[in-house]
Order: sequence, then structure tokens, then C-alpha cells
Amino acid sequence: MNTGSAIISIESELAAIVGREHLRENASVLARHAIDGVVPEYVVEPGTEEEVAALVRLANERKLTLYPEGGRTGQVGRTPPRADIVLVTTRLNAMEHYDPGDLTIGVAAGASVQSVREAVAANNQLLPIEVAYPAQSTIGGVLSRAAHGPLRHGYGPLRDSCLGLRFVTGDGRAAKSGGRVVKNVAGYDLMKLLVGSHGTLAVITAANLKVYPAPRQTRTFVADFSHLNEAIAFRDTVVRTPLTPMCLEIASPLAQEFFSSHSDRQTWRVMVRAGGSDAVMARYARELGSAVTHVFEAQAEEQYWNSVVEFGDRISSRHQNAMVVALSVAPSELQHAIEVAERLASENNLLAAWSGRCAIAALNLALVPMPQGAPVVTQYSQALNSLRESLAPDAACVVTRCASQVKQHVEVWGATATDIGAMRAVKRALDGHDVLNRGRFIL
Amino acid sequence: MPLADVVRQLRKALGPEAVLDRPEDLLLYEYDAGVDTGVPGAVAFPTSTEHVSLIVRLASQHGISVVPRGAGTGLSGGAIARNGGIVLVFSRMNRILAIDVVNRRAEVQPGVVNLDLSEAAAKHGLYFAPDPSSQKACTIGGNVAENSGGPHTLAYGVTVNHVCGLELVLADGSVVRFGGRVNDGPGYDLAGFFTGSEGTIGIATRIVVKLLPLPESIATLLAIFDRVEDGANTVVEITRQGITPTALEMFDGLTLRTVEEATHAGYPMDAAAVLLIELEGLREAVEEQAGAVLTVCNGQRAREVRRAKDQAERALLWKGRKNAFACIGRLAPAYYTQDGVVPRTKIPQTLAHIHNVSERFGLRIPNIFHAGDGNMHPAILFDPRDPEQRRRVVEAGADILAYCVSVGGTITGEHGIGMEKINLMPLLFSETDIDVMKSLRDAFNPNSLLNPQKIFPTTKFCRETTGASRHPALKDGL
Repeated sequence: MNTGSAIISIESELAAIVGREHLRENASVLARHAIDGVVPEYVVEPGTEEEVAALVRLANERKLTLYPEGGRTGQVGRTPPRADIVLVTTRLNAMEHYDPGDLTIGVAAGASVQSVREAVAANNQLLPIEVAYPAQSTIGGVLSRAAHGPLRHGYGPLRDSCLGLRFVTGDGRAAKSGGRVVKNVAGYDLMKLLVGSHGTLAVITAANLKVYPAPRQTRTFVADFSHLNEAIAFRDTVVRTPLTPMCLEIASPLAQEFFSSHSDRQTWRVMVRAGGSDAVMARYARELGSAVTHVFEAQAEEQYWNSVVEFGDRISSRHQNAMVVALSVAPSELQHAIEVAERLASENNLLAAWSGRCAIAALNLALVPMPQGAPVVTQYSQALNSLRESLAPDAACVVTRCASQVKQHVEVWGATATDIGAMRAVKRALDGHDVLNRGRFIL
Repeated sequence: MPLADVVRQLRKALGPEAVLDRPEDLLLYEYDAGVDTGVPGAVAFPTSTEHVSLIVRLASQHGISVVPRGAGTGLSGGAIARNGGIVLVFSRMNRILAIDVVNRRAEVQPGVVNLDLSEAAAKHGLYFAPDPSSQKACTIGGNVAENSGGPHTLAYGVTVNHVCGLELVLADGSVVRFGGRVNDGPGYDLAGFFTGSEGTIGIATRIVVKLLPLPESIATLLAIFDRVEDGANTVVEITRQGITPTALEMFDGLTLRTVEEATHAGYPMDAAAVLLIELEGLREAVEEQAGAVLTVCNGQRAREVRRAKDQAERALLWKGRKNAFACIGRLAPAYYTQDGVVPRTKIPQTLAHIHNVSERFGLRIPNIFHAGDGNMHPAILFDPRDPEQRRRVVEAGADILAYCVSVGGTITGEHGIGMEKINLMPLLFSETDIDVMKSLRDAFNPNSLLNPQKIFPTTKFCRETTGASRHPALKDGL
């Protein structure tokens, strides 16, 4: 078979599926969709689920790899050796149903977080999904990487809010799991498999989500401490009170420099966000006592939390080569993990900045260059590897951002407490030809 | 004869008392709390993961099926052996292995009774949130297999929201781990996927669950209505107003009177419906929400709203709820409980539809259900000695579930598909949907020896003819 004619044929087949105008071959467009610098051969923008299924089936027939993409705001994974097709979901953006009285909403996967947030806000409801670029980030993308922000403390992980999904499996089957109602145990729960699967099992095409009543008012109580152990002790105190905050976060001294431009803080900060009536707020003030150093309200509060959500992006916009790691440990081991990482960072010519959920102990750790001299590539990998070695075996330590030259020298995913053989069995069952996101995931 | 061989080998390994195969002993394991039965070929009582692994490995080598069983309180036939084989009972694997107070985790063997874990955790101010009505007897392993619910799952979520790690035995007898104490491990959430897979993916031998702190304040309210519609509309309005009860249960008049006669919980004998509403959390928040609930109830013509004064009164109100189905047993020789779910806004019309079904089929149907999440439990009363009634019961049940699906709901909220509802699956799922699920089952359980003939439909796909007429309960004699 002549390679040239095969290429032409793939192109025309793609165009036949999505329409010529939704097949992008222009070099500058392709470059914009590069994955860690790997430029795809084609970019397609399907407008229907049938088109998604046809594209996945074509990729299977032609032995091509396919990389689903939402708003390109948070892709995580190893660098793929090559990429044939990038499938952009943003044309699948319909609002399918919204039942305020049922506190549920159904949207197509390419809908932006912003659009869903606005729809529910109009009914005083809340979608507990927080991302740095809500106008770009898509619901499908957020689900695929099980993204979470400060509201996870009070509203639980995304997996608990996902009631149903429609999707196209890697072998081209258009199917669904779950439903629209808040309680449903009919059939296997594929939502649990797909949320956090980083697009390696199926292309998510639509999702039904739980939404929540928005609190009438919120307030954020901030406590600053000179030492980490005091901040952790305060966290432990808060957790033992009957308070049920929406958010319970910690930020290191260096992290706070990224929250506001004029910060020269030398303190560890714990933030407690409360929702409810005046009486509830008064109770928070009483329980938290004299440790509270500031209270944020209204617009200042919103801005502050936005800056917390934007932490990773603020880091990378100031330090292109920074490494950001998503770290999860048992809450009792958080202080130890932070102390070890701080020491390893400085031994490797790096500074550590921390921001995240301190009661759940799921934090973002940013490793940034010291002002007096850039670290070499191996110092990032040494800091990361030593940190992983010092953590308990069930801890998670995933690299979510780093320079591409560093990525060649580090393992993105780290260890997992879940049997790899079983994960591979799942992958084979749904994407037997390894079409989706080949070379990017932990498997 | 392969089963006799396997039994002999298991007796050697597990001890002579740990394996049963006399017909009179086996009969004790042919039931669960639902309507279906099936006699196993043998029953084994492992005490360790190694035992479970050995049983599964030997059974698999001889092509014998294995059905895991907790307390047998399930309502969908999940723990019933459909084609003989070995039923693996977890009553001797009932140890709480660890309670990690600081990290709010417990690690348990699957045979631990649900309420025993909450009682053990209570001295640390913690508890295990899923609370099925059978929680005094049902096991955490069974809760995980069926992804069980309960009244308080309205606020805290069904079992899967509380499972973070598992040790399990796969179909070939190998032992693996899915997840652990920490939630966010990279890779697929197989612990989440496993929960609710009804014993068809593997057999859990250790379970790591989350524990929650006991709330500071609890308000338990009983709202009494003279019209069922008013009670149903109150549920809709409570949700719409952003009030977040931790439990919101509804009883209709028939249930109410039956429960009251049996338990003397203090329910009014002449009301058309009551709502049992619970609010938990910070004292200030609970008081405000209790005020808001009162306003909503009054706006919907509640005759009276009572509030439990103390723990004893609260316990009495819940005693009525938890024993409701036992009480319903006094109304007729048998009843068939459905587990459909509808969007909460559709509860009033669903109750009207159930009433209509009751008249059309000439069957009495008391209702007691988790109104807050739209999880209906109509209990269709019948006399099993009358074959004509049995047929109508199955048809009436399928009619109700088809209605739930038609308004955007589902056929099971917390009981599972088991064997009971396998042929109703096509009401919800396309052939491809089921095919995708099957490919996952086949990846873990290729010969379907682990809990065979569960979850997946046995009939051909055809929406018009699935359901009532092909319901397995009919064939198996309900």
C-alpha cells in the first residue's frame, strides 16, 4: 500500500465525518494543539456524538492514535511519542437539561465551566467546580482529570457529584452509565472509572451533575502562623470543632506571594471559609477565636479564592520551568510530607510553595527556582524522586506541570495503591487498540 | 464429581465445620430478604483472605461458581446461588481491623455488621454514614457489593462515597489492592467501580472506609398531613428552597397505621401522610433549617409539625421507620418491594401513578420511602398462594418501574439489580450500554463464575416485551 494515498484517504475520511471546515490541517493551528510539543497530524472538531463515535472507529480501523481535548487548560500526562488526531470537544456544548427543583444539570462535555456555573447561579445554586480559566475549561476535561479546588473540602470529590455520563469507548462504542437522579445503582458505575481516567478509556460526550444550594452569604476566616506546626495544630483544632466549613485550606509563605503582588508574608496561613446566616458566622468567630487574624468578605473574598484556584497558573506564568505536583497523603502525615519536601527542595536549589486542602491533605506543591540561580534538570527529578521515596506507599504524588525537558527525566504519575494489572484489564476492555491518549497515562 | 472433590479439599484447609453440604444445611442459604431463591451446592465459611483465595481458585479450576454472601438481608437476590456452586459466607470474617481516628478511616473485614462499626467508632466521636434499614444485621461487605443506601444517604451519599480502599480476590484467586487510605491515587478509581458491582468483579476481603464525625446537633421533625399530595409537595418545596435535610422520609396513611399499631412510635393513626425530617450539623444551622422546614410544611397545609424532644423520642420515631417493612408484613402474607427512583420534583405524580396501578391491578400498595432523594419503595401486597395474584404483582411492579424510568428516573436506587431486575435493565440501557458493562465483567470474570447470572439481562433486547412477562420472579415462582 502506498503511504501517500493512505494519508490522503484518512484526511478525506475525517472531512467526511466532521465536515471540511471542522478538520484543521493548517500548521499554525496544529501547533496550537501540540501535546508537550508533539504536533498532531490532524485536529478535528466533531459537532455530535455520532461524529465522535465515527472518529474513534476510524482511528481504530486506521490504527491511529486519538487525543481528546477540552479547553487545553489542564492536560496532564507523559509526553506521547507522536499524535495522529486531536479531537476537540468544544462544539459539543449544549445544555441538555437543568432541573433546579431536582438540583441536577445535564450538559454536553464541551460546555465551559463558566456557562454551567452561570446557569445554576441564576437559580442561587452552586456548581462546586473551580478552575483557573472557567471560560475555557470544559466539563468533560474537568471530569477526565478529576480536578478539584478548595470547595472539595465541603462538597466532596467530583466523583461523588457525577450522576451519569455518555461517552464513546476507545473501541468506538457510544454508550452511557448512570442517569439523572441522585441515587442510582443500576448496572456498573462507569462514572467512577471515567472520572480521573484522563481520557484513556472513553471520550466523555455528556455528563449529569449534582448541583447544590448556594449559601446565602460566605465569609473567610484567616489565621496566620509563624511555623508550620502551629498551622497544622490549628487545622487539627478546626477539624475537631463541630464546624462544617466549605473550604479548609493551607498556604505556605511563598505561595502567598503568588496570591497577591504585594505580599511579603513570612507566615503559614490557614483559611476557613464558612457559609450560612449571621448566627452561623458568629459561631465560627467564637470557635476559631483569637487565632483569626483577618476576615475576608464579599468581593475581596471572591478575589482571594480566585487567586488560590489560580495558584498553579500563577506559578507557571512567573516561572516557566516550575514543577507543580499534586500531593495527597493521609492527613496525619501532611506535616511530615511538607517538612521533607521543603528540605529536599532547598538541597536541590529549589524553593517550595504550597497551597491546598489541608484537612483532606490534598495539596499542590510548586517547586520554583531559587532567585540566585536556576536549578538544573536533574535537581527537579532528584527532589521529586526523593520526596516520593519518603512518602507512605499509598500517597499520591503526580506531576501536573513541568518543563518538557524535565519531563524526559521524571515519572509523571508516581506510584499507585491500585493494582496495575487490573487497570490494564480495564483499559483492554474499553480501548483494546490503545487508541485514546496513547503513551500518556500510568499504564 | 467436582463439587464433592472441592468440598473435601476445602474441609481439609478450612476445617470440617467450615464447609456445609448437607441439603438441610444448604436450605438456610437459599434465601435473601427479597423474593428469589436458589439452593447452593455447598456453603463455605472462610476466616482469612487466604481461605477466600483458595476457595475461588479451586472453584475456578473446576468450573464451579462462587457467590459471596454477607447477612443475606439484600432485596434483589444478589447473594443467591442461581446455579448451585459454593456460597461463601463472611460471618467469620467480621473483625474491625483498625480505626484510624486522626485520619477518619476504618479498615474492616467484609463480615463486620454495619451498625457494629458505627458503635465501635462512636467512642471516638465518629460513625459510618451508610445506614440501610437492615443495619443491625447487614454487613459492610454486602453494603459494598450492592452499594447500599439508607435514609441518611440523602446528605452523605451511598456506600461508594465512603469506600476508599479494598483488598480483593479476583476470579483466578489472586489477591490485589484497589486504593487505600488516601483518595487521589493516580490511575483508575477501581475501588469506586467495584462498589456496587454485586460480586461480579471480585470478592472483597478487606475494606477501608471513611468515618464521619458525629454531628453536634440533630433535629428530628414529624410533619403530619391530611392529604398525600401536600406531603409530596412539601418534599419538592424543601429541596427547591435549598434546605438540606440529612434524611427526609415519607410514609403514606396505610403504612402509618400499620407501623403505629406494631411499634407505638407515636405516629397519628388518622393522617394521610407523614414526613420524617432530620437535620444535622452546627446547632445554629440546624435551628435555622428547622424553622425553614416548619414554614414550608405550614405553607403546604401540614396539620401539625412535631419535634422530637430528646434522643429517646428520636429513637422512637426512627424505630417506626426502621421496622416499617417488618410491620408491612402484617398486612398480607407477602409483599414485593420496589426500589425505583424519580427526580424529586416528580414525586407527587409518581405517587398518583402508584395509586392508579394499585386500583388497576386490584392490589394494595403501601408506600414508605426516601422522599428526599426520590427513592420510592412501594410495597405491593399479595398472597403468594394465588398464582393469578403473583402474576399481577410482577406486572404491577414492572409498571411502576417503567413509569419511574419514563419520568427520568431509574429502576433501583439502593437495592441493586441482583437477579430480581436483570430483565428490566433494557428499560434503562441500550444493548451497547450493556455490552460495554459486559466487556468489563469479562475482563475480570471471564467465565462468569463469580456470582453468575446477576446484573445482566438474560432475555433478548426488545423494549416492548421486556419487563413483566419475562420477569425471572415469575419463572422462579416468586
